[in-house]
Amino acid sequence: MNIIIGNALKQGRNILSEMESKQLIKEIGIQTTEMKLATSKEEAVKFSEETGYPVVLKVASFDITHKSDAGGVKVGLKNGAEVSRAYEEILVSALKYNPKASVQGVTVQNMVKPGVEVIIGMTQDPQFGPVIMFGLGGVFVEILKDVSFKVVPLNRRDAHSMIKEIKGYRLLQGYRGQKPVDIDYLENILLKLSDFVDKNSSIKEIDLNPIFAYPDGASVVDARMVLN
Amino acid sequence: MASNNLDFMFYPKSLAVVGASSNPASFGCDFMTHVTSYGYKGKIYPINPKQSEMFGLKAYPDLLSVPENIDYVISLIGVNNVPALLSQCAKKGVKGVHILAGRGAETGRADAIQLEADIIKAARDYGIRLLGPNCLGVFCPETGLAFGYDFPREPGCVGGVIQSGGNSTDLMHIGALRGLRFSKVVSYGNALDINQNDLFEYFLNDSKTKVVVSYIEGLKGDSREFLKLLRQVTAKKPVIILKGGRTNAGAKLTVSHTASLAGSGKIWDIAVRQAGAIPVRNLDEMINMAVAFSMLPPIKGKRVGIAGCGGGRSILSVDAWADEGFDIPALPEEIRQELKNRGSQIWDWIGNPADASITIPGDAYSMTSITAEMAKNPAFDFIATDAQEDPPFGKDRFVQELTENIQGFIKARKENEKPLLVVYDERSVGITEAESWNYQTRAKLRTLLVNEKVPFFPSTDEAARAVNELIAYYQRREESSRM
Repeated sequence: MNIIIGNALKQGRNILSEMESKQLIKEIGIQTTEMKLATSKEEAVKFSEETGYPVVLKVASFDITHKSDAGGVKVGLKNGAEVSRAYEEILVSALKYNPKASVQGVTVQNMVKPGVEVIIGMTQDPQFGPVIMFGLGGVFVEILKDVSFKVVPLNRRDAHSMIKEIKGYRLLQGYRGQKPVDIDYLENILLKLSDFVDKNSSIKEIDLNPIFAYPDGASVVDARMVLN
Repeated sequence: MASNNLDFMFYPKSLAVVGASSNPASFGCDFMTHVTSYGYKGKIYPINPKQSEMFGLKAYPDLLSVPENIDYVISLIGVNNVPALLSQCAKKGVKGVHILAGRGAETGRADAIQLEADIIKAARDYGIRLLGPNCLGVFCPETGLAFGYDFPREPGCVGGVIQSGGNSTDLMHIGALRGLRFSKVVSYGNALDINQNDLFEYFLNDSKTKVVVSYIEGLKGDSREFLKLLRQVTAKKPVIILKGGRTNAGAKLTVSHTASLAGSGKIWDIAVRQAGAIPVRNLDEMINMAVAFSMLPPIKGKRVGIAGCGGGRSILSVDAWADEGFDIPALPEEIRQELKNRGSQIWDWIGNPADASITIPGDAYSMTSITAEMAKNPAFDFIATDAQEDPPFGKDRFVQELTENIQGFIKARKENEKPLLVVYDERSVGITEAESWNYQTRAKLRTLLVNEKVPFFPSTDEAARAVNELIAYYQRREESSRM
């Protein structure tokens, strides 16, 4: 963990890549996707075979933050041929989107099955320090701002109540045929994150968005971290 | 090393009032009046170079002339003179100094900020604790210390951590009218040394304090430590916090009032609730909560029995309770039967709320009897009685009925464990109304409620909000003990 953080600071950046962020997430004990960085289309195919289809390819570049807008994300790739073609298309799109961008390659990760979308984040309150946020994903957080906050350190009751207090809570309990999600697992993510930032003052912001919640767990699909 | 023990300011064996005076226009006279009229039994040394005696006590020109050591100094002189005062204090074994004077760092002036820095350095070097500057200090009725006129003398269980002097005084005066009685209230101002963390830690361990109310403009010291302390306190006793400067507009004023920064508004409420405290939005709410928590036992559920209103007012009462999520159960059949057995002509008509306007003189159904029955019945978690303001009677019947009803409520509360509160309208009246039989009667009965330590609220809404917080607090505490 300190290696990842140290590396970034040494390179003069305070933003961790998706891969670096997910590495840290994994180290905390939170389920996420397996990511590898491919620097050639052959490597991309090799990693895809190792990870198992379907896979998601994303452009790896600190200069491109809105990867979808840049045509830098390809999902649901089912075989080597699709991966190979996707790899090339991504690089072309990226170059067109931002010709000056420095591109390390293309990341390969397993595509998780869809679940109920939630967001978990962390910011710094100027007075009370690290604060954890929870909400349902998409329009719930972006437009309705249906989110809850708690100050670090969280205990189990805090984690439980911050999930329960959001207006869309019933969606987690199962709605229109969807099975209820594993709320305990979400609570554990909140607690682990709280613990992590309580012990690591070098983190300024965390954005786990989206997390797919399932009846038997959850997976962090995208992760972003900003250092102090 | 300065002691963490705050006994020097709550239980000083001796104190000096620096800037004491018999000039009625001065703070020096006010404070001499306060320390001599609330029953303080320790030694008092008025310090004034121009007077040799006052208030029947020998006065001294300065601290060094005082023959004995002095526990506690109340300093009424300008902040500029405090550093010199501190060096005198060091020679007299003074443990703590209350600096009343303002015009310190809250002015934002560089020289004033520097002066405060000099003062705290001197205090730390000498091992002397400081309260203030820019604050009214300590109210401790048990010891006989106060900083205002007409504070309630009877000690009680409510502790106060109040960053404003004016708000402290209001709390005491307005709270006393509702029956609140205090253990210790500290107006702590700029918190150069003693801050809210020190005071909360004190109240955590003070067995005489059962409820803590607090007014805070800006946290001094470690904010996360504050939350940690708050969690510890709320695990033992309820804490009610009023934040000054919640809004952006209000926040700007906190710097010029107490030289403190209000901090970000949204997270404050969340953080304080997370720590188990109850945030309120104004002084009236603070007082309502303090009344509920200091005068009601824990209420375990939301089923309310209502008695005392007329027909229309009953409907409004039900709406107000229902709005806050309470249940109004139907009147249990056994109560109807009981009153039927006692010969009531309207046993089949009565319900919950128990309507005061349908009473028939001499009938077994009265506000007294129905309240007594409801208070015995497990269908209700608590009883909300009401002193309806304007029954349409002439003087004699008004006085008789209202008096009987209130006495009936008091009796039901005494004879049963069921929590019981009263809704008692507040009106600010002119002198003509104040002298009328109507308002005279209400005022007398109000005093009776205070003397009998019955909790009452100015409106049903306010009662309902307070009971909601009460239920939530004790529920949370019970859950914690099971975790």
